[in-house]
Amino acid sequence: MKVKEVEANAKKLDESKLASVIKELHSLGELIRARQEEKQSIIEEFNSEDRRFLVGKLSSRTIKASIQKTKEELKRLDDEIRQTIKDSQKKLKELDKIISSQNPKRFSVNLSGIKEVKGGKK
Amino acid sequence: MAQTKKMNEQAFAKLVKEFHAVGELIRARQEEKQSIIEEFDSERERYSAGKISKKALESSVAKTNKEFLRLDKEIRRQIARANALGNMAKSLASQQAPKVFRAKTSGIFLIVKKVKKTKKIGKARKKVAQKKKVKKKK
Repeated sequence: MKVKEVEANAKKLDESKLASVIKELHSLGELIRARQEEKQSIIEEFNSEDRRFLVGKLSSRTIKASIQKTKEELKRLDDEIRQTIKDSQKKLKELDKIISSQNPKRFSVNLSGIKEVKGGKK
Repeated sequence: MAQTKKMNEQAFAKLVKEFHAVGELIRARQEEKQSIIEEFDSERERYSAGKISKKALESSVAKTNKEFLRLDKEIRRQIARANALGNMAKSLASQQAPKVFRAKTSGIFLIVKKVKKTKKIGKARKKVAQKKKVKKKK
């Protein structure tokens, strides 16, 4: 166990950085939910078009165009949701890093002053 | 009707809020630790100037060491809590991997990928299988 005499200063968490990462994480969560809702509305829209096709109100050509459009939209939304999930996991890793770097410095006090203790049991 | 996954926004927001609270708590404990350091420094200066006795400083040393231990323990506990919250948020986010749908003239269908099942063989079974192979060769 090494004892190092230093000017004693406790670690300080960068609160503003933490707050900004948390804010970003929150908005990513909202984005995922928004895209999921958009996807649901596209499914519902297609379902109603399909019903209109089945009762003969829409032509085969129109429903084919609608299928193509729906497929593209669903793919776009799925890609975006996957990307947002990745981004949120990145942000969570960043948070982990910020938090785990706050592991406390150990100080020991005696009559001669405060010393930082390195190594040894925690 | 086809249903997309829907993230539990409230649960996610709650986790994020708790994360924030943990961060604030860590910072508060760090500041408390700093103030204890400064307080001890000033006591030592008073001792050097002969304003307090050695006995008084010794009791201050014991008290300060105890306080450091308590605060370090608390900070570590909060870090562990933050890690647990992070894991929960990670799992909540990864559960949102989208369901894949395909639109056809007959409607919208969910596409489920078939996963090949592989048999897991335990160590004991592996040994038995190897012994059988050896016997056959003989």
